[in-house]
Amino acid sequence: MDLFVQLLLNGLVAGSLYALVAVGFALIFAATRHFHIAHAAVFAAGGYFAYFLTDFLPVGPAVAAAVLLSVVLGVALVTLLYRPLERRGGAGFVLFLVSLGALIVIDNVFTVGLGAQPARLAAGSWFTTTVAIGEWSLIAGQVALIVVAFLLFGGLVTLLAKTRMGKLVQAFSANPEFVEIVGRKPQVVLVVVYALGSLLAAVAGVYVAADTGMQPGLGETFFIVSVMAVIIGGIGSITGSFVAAMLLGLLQNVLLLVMGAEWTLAAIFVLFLVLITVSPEGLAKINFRRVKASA
Amino acid sequence: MRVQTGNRLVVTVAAATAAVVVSGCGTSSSGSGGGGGAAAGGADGEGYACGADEVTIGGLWAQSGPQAAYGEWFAAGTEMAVEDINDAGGIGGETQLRLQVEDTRALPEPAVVAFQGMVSDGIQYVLSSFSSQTLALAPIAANEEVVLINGGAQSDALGEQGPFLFNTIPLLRNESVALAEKLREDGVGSAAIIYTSDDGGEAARENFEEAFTEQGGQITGVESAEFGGTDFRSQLTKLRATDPEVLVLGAFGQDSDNIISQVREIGWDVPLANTSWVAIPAVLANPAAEGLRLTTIPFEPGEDFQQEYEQKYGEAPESAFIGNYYDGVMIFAEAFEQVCESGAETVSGAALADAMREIGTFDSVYGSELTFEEGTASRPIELAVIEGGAVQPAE
Amino acid sequence: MSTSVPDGNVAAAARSSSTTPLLRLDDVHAEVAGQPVLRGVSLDVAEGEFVAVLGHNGAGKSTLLRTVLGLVPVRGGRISLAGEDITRTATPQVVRKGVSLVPQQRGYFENLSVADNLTFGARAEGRIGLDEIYELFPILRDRRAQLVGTMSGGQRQMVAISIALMSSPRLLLLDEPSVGLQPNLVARVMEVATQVNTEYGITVVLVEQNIEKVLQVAGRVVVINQGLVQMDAPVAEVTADRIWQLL
Repeated sequence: MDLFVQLLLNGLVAGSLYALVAVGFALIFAATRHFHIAHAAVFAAGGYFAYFLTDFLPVGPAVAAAVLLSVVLGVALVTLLYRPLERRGGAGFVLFLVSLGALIVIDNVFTVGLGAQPARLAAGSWFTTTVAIGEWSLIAGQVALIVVAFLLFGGLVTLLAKTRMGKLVQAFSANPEFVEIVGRKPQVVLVVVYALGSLLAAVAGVYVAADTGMQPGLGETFFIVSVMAVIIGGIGSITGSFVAAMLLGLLQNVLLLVMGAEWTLAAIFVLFLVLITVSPEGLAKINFRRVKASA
Repeated sequence: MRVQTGNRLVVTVAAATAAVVVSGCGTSSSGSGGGGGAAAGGADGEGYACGADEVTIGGLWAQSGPQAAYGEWFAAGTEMAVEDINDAGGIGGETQLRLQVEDTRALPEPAVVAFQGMVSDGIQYVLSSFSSQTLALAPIAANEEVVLINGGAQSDALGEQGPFLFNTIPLLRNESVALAEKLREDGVGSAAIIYTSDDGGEAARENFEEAFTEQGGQITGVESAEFGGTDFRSQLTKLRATDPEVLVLGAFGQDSDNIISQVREIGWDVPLANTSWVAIPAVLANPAAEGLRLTTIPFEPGEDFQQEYEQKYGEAPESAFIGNYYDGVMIFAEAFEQVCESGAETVSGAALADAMREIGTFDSVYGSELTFEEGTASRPIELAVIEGGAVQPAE
Repeated sequence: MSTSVPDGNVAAAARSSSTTPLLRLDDVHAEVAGQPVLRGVSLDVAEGEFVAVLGHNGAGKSTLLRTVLGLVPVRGGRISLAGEDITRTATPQVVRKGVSLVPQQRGYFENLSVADNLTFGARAEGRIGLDEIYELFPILRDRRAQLVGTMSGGQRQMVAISIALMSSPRLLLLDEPSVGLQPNLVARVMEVATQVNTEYGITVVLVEQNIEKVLQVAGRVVVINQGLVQMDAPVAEVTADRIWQLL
C-alpha cells in the first residue's frame, strides 16, 4: 500500500507533464486542425531558453522570459509558416510535413547552439527540497509542477467557457468559416490558441530542464504520449486530453507494480491500440463532454 | 470544444510520427575532419596505400545527447594521438593521419548509417564506443573487413564479436565481478540493482547479480529503467521498500547522474555503487554522489602526456577513456607500419587486424602494457570512492 | 458593361438610373476547386429590393452569394457595394460594411448557446437587438441557454437567420433557408424575410429552389444557369412556366 500511494504520486507528476503538453496540443488541434508536431520543439524551447537565459538573468525572470520566447516561437510558426502555407492551399499532411521539418531544424539549432550536454536549468535548491506528504514524499519542484498544471488547466477551461475570446476560440473550433461570415478575423484565434498552447508546453519544458535537463529528442517522446492522450481523451476535448494524460501518467507508474519499466510504455501502447480499434472516438465521448458543457 | 471529424487523420499521422521519430530522423552529424572523401591512397575496398601522403580513420561517438560527456573524452584522446603522430612526421615518417568523426548520440541507427558512409569512403579503421552502437556495428565491420576499435563500451557481448572488433577497455564482466567481490569483502550482505535497458546496463546487472550471489550476497530487488529516461523515482521507490544495504547502478552517463540525484530526492540515504563508467564530471560535481563506491582502472599517464593534455584541454587527463582512445590510434599506426614493412603495397582492414593479433602486446599511454586477450585488453581493476568531488582510492 | 442576356432590360435600366445600386456585380467570374462556376455574372440590386435568385443545383447560386462575401475569390470582373469596390475585400470587412450571409448549412456554432451565438452577430450600433430577435422568434428566448447543437433543424435555422440579422445588415443574403424544413417553417422563414425587408428596409437577396414561394415574396427574379444570368425581371412580368423553361 505504501508503495502504491507513492507510485500514484509519481504518476501524478508524470501525468501533469503529459497533460501540459497534451492540453496545449488539443487546443491547437481542435481549433486549427493543424497536426503541429513542432509543438515538441516549443516544449524543448521552454527548457533550452530557460537554461540559456539563466546565464544573464536570475532564475525567475529567466523562466518567465523563456516561456514568453517559446510563446513567440509558437505564434511565429503559425503566422510565418502554417498560415502562408494554408493560403497557398497546403493542408493536412503537407502541413504536418512542414511542421516536422520545423521540429528537426529547431531541435538541431538548439543542439548546435547550446552545446551537446543536457541543458540542466539551475532552479535553485528549493526545487529538490523533499516535501513530506504523510509517509510519502515528493520534491518541491514536483509539487509545483502538479499545482501549476492544475491551475493552468483550470484557467484555460474558465477562459474558454467564460470569456468572449474563449467563446470565439470555441466558435472557430466548431465552424471556422462561419467565424469569418459573422465578421471576425480568424487570425486572432490562431494567435490566441498557439500562444496558449505554446505557453503550456513551454512550462512543461522548463520543468524537465530543471529536473533532469533538456535533451535533443526528448520533446518527441513527450509529444507521442501526449498525442495518445489527446486521442484517448477524444480529439478536440480539452478536459478529455487532460484526464487522459493524467491517467497515462498514473498507469505508467502503477504498472511498475507488476512489470519492469521497459514494458510499461509498451503496455500502454498496446492498450492504446486496442482502445482506438474498439472506440476511435476515444474514451471521452460521453463523460467529459458533459463536464465541458457545464463548465 | 469537440470535433467530430478528422480522427482518422490524426491517428494515421500519429502513427507516422511515431515511426519517423523512432527511426531517428533527428540525427545530426558533423564531420570534424572537414570535407573530401579522402580515405586517401588505396583503390576502393582494397585499403590504404603504403607511402600515401594521408590516410583517414573514423570516429563514431556521441557529440550530442545524454552521452556526449564521454564523447568529449573519446575525441580528446583520439585527437591527441593523431596530433602526436602527425607532429612526429606521420606514420613511418611519411603518412599523415586524418580523423573523420560523426555524431551518433550513442544510438545504433545513426551509427550504422555513418559507419556505412565511412566504409564506402574506403576507411579501414574506425574507433567506436557505447555497447548498443558497437554491437550493431560489429557484424557490419566483420562483413566489410574493417577494423572496429572500442575504447568506451563494456558490454560482455563485445568480447565475442569476431576478429574485427578490438576492445582497448576491459569488459564489464571483469569490472562488475570485481565490484561484487570487493563489496562482499567490505561486508556488504545485500544489494538492490537499478539498471537501464540498454546492452551496457543489462550486462552490468547480469554480471553483478551473478557474482554477488555467488559470493553469498543477497539481491533484494532489481528494477529496469529506460535508457535516456528522465524519471526513475518510481523504480527507486520500489527498491527502497526492499531495504538493501547498497544500491548498485547499472547505468552510465546522464542516466546515472539522474538516478543518483533522484535516490537522494526521494529521501533515501542508501550507499551507492557503480563501475568506473560512472565517473563523469557531472556525477563528480553532484553532491548526491558523495561516498559512491566504484571500480576504477588506474590510468597513470606520463608527465609529458599530462602536460600536453592540460595545455590543450585545460584540465588533467583523469578519465581512463582518454587513454583507451589514444592507445587505439597508436595501435593503428604500429599495425599500419608493420603491414607496409612486410612488403605489402596496400593496407586492408584484414591485414591491420592480422598485424594487431601478431603484435599482441602494445605500449600503452597508461604507463603499462596493453595485451589483447582474444580481442579484449586486460588491465588491472581497483575499488575507489567519490569524495570531495573526485575519485579517491578506497581504504 | 454591355449585356447580351435576354430579358436584361430591367438590369440595364437600373444601371442607367442615377442612383447607385447597393450591390453591383459586373462581369464577375469565379472558380470553385478549379472549375469555373460564375462565367460573367452582371447584376444590380437596388437599396430596399427583395431579389430572388433561382437556378438548379450547381448553377452557381450559392457561389454567387459566397463570392459577394469574399469567401470565393473573384477571377475576373468587379463587385461593388454602394459604389465602393469590394472585389478583393476580405470577408470580415465585407461583413462590417453591412452584408450578412445565412449559409446553406451550419450558419451557427453548434457548441455554443443560443445567446452566445446571437452575441457573435451583434453590432453595437445596430437597430436590431436581442429584443427584436426574440420578437421574431419567441422560442429562442426560452431556449437562449441551450446549445444550438442540441436543437431541431428548424430552430437551428432560426438561430442562423437571427445571427445574420443581429448585425442589422443593409444587405441580407439568404442561401436556400427553407431546405429540409417542414412546410409551416418554410412559410415562417419567408414571412420573416419579407418582414425584415419591409419593416427594417433591409435589402434581401434570396437564393431558392422553391419557385412558387419565391414568386409570392420577391420583387424581382433572377435566373442563373451555367454560371450566367438567363433572366432578370420584375416578378410581375414572369410566370412559373417561363422560369421552368429557363432552368
